[in-house]
Amino acid sequence: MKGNPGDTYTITLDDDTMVHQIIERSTKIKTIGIKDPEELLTRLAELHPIAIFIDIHLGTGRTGLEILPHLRSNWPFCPILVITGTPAEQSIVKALNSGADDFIRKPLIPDEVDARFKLRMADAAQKAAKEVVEFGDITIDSAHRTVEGPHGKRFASPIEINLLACLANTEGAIVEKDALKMRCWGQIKVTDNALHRKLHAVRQLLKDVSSSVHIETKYGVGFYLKFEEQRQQLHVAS
Amino acid sequence: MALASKLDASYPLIDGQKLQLIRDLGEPDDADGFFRDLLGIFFERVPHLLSELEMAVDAADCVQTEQSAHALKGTAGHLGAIWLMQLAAWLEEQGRAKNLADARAHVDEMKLVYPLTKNELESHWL
Repeated sequence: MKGNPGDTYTITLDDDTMVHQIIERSTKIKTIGIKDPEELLTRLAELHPIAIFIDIHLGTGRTGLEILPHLRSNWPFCPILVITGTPAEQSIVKALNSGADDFIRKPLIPDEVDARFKLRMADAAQKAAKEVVEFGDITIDSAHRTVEGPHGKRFASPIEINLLACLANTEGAIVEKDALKMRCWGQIKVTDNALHRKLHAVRQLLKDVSSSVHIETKYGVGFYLKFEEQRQQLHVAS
Repeated sequence: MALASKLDASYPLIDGQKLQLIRDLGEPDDADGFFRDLLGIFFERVPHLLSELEMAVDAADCVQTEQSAHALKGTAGHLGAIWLMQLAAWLEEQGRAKNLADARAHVDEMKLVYPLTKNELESHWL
């Protein structure tokens, strides 16, 4: 089923188009049905789903499990529900560990699909409400990955927004380098250079939306976010 | 013909309760053609998967047997085609266990059960 990226929709990745239709009818929300995981991966940037249903075992090529981390990193706050027809509990555990929020067993039962979908949407809404952080004159919306300030609004990558939210959540306290890496990249090992590149991008982003909020470096220790309203007001007064 | 699955010949082809849940997703009397569309997908997909499965079993390809049987199990299951689903589930399990000793007989039974299932769906549910 075709979907206009401007509308509210879910994505269903399953090689059986019957599943696309059953999910769409069960949730009463339009779904963009995709059979091939490669197609989904190439369309990540243009799609903005409210939830994703993904079959673990796809016919050929990559499995749902393999692409799950890509989906999660691209849509950090979007509920992902895996569909599984296998009795093996291990694949469900793997899916949950790879970023899925919940699972649905095949054959699909319409009421169960709807109930799980609604539950996950409610969770996501609650999470999103907590994910709006204000610091100085900027607002960081992790759910929608936006940073807004007096000079405008900018979209950020998942890592950039995590990085900024992490610094803002500590309300100006220093966040150690390794803690910041862990918060933004999880278990993936990253170099200091990679962290500095991201920090540079976030600094640029902050400059676009506000002239009062900056990332400061405490050499050998870590980083913190600083709001310089008073200094700015003094400049204006003088 | 003896049934490889050991299912009784009176075993239902369709789980009516399950299928009704799916049919109820469409408009009354299938005014929007939703249920007809689903059956269309089923009639198109099952023969294709069945032939894929048959080739895999004949080639003693356990991985492909497991995959095709898994897909067939899902498609059959959604429309409550339980006899087909049971056979597919058994073949999936055998593929996973790398033991296709009785697989051919189960495929033959599927080839027998599918037209009966199709007929049941067309004559009682459409």
